[in-house]
Amino acid sequence: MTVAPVWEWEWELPLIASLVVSEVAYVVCWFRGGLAPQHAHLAWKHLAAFTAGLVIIVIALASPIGANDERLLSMHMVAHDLLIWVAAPLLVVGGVPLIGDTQRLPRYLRRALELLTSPIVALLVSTSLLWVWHAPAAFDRALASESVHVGEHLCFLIGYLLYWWPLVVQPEAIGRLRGHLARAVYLVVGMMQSALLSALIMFHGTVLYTTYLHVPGATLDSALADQRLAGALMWYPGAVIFALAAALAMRENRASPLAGPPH
Amino acid sequence: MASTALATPRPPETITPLLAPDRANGAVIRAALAYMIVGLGTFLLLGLLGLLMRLDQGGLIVIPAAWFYRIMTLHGAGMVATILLAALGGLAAAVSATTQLKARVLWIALILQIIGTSFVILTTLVGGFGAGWTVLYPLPSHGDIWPLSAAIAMYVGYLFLALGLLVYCVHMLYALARAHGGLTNVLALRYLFSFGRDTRGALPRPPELIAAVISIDGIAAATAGVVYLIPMFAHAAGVTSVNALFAKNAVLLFGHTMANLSIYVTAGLVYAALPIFTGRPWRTTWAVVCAWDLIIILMLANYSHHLYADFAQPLGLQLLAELGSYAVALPSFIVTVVGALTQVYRSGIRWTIAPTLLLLGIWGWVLGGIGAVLDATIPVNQVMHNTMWVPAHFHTYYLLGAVAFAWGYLFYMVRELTGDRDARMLRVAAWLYGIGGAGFVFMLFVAGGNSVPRRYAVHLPQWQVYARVAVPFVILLALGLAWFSWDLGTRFRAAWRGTQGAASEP
Repeated sequence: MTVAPVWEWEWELPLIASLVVSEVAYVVCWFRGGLAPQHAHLAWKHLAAFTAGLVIIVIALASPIGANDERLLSMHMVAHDLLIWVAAPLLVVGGVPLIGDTQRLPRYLRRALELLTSPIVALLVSTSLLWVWHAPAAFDRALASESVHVGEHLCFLIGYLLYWWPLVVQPEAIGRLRGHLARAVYLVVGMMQSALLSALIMFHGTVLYTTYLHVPGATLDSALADQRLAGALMWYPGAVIFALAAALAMRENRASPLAGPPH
Repeated sequence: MASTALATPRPPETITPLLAPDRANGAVIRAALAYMIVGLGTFLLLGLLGLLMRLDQGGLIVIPAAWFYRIMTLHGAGMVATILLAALGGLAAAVSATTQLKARVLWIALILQIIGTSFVILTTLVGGFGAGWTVLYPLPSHGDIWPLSAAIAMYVGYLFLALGLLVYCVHMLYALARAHGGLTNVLALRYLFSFGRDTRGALPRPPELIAAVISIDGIAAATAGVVYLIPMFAHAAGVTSVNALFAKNAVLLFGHTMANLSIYVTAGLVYAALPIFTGRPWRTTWAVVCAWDLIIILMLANYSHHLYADFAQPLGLQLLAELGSYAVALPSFIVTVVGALTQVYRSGIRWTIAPTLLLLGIWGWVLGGIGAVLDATIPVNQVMHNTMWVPAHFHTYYLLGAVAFAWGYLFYMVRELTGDRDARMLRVAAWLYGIGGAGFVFMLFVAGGNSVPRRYAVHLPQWQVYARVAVPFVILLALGLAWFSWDLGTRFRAAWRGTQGAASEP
């Protein structure tokens, strides 16, 4: 590969400020016992999960991984992996208990939540967002415009917050998938669609995202090799994450895998 | 439940039903149903790929050679994985009434297997990989048709398959050992080495004994797979060179044992289901224990009959392969076949679809086994190994043996769970399956006998007649399978509900 990666952190103020505000707000609510204190069951593990999710976002977008995402597709894919496979489930694990009993939310909020987190909608939204943003035109557009790029990452994060919701929220929460079969089917469909997309990227014979051909030092061969690596980096870690998710999500309905004792 | 119940000897005359009295194994039965549906459903799709290959070999359609080898690879790898999956599901159901399995672990193993299968599907259909299911070094790494990344993805898929098998087998072995107070007891070793005189402890039921045996071999096979794959990954990364002979031994110990496991696991289903229909318990006799305990070693010893043509293979291993191939066939084979016939003889059995398929499986196993023993004979192998004889024998013991056992067991499960009686007309579907399957594999044997080579995308005109004659039989087979699927599809929901109402997984 002839493209030289940069080894710098990109501390973008809007990103860091929004993450710090999110963390501070979370910590305040956590110490208060949640947004609806009488019904929230918050534990240290929730705080840790939420904080870890935000740290992962920083690593994905501000570390050399994020700094290289416009130079190397493989680095861009690692950033996406971190957002959708790691940060999103951690944020759901940490964030949802903050809401407390989702059944006691105001009616309009509950309705919206029921709709968005219903497994079919969550699956359709996450899948659609993943595929649409990986269409060459959309992807190249994101690489050309910083605001579109931010929008792309937000879409991934929101899409996969919805995807992980039915698997990792507490048993009594809205949207929770019940039964081994339903959870297995949901996991397998989510895994298969992302694996197919990864395989299409990995085995494609030409460079899909032409922006990477114009990076200084890039050649056709280096861009193709980078694309193969990018597909593999999306596919293999995704499979491992789904295997780990299966190990956690296949527990019985009696308790959420990560639910803690009352705070 | 099981650990306390099994502390006292179980009367050997009992016939164990599918569901425990309190339906405590309902969650495991649901997982088992999922295994069988995923396994047999994928089998149907992969069977269509088989039909495409046969049509191509008969000159009735034209598939580009590169696509033929992709399809062949997917068909082969997928069939080994999915038939074993269905078999493992059935076995989990068969032991679950008396052995406490964890449904969660079974689901995790299933998802690992599905992840592995998805890699195989995508690598072949999208990545162009066509080196055959055996992924024998050095072809995967040096093929000109597919990129190295496709070979690596195939290896990753196999790694997940091995991992899934490992999780299942370790859990099964642990659960059985716990239920019987140790591995020695579940393998009935004291009973075996005392020649049947030491009957102090409770003997395992035959399906439990078989589950322990195949779990030990499954762990060995999965380990061999990992032993093969690690140097393959290292080689792909440019770190190390590969000893081709070592690699071939490891991959065949993995793949051949996995293929063998399917038939032996499904044979365990016969021990579990046939007594229900004959009304006669299948006792754990000394012969049964001896035969199945021997399988532990013999199944691992026979893979090397695929390496007779490799001059560098040590002579000792070649001889071990020949002896192992003969020996593996005899004990379990004779004990199971004679046992099944004794079960049926004058039992007044009602020949519904499940026992019909179970008995068909016995004959498929016998015929496929004879073909395998012939192929394992070194002078015969030197002439026949690269001909259609080899697909003939493994299609016989897969299609007419293991798969027939698996379908039969699934019909038995659905009947037990729904309480329905099987329609008499459904036996016609079993006959369609049997006749279609027999005609199909017979033409493979005839082609092999006439030295038609295997793994060839393009067949000479004089070879095409065998495939053409086979096609109508394949259509009969497909009709039988469609009928099976339709019938099970209409009753499946009721069967699923039949597992519920029980306490959830402990």
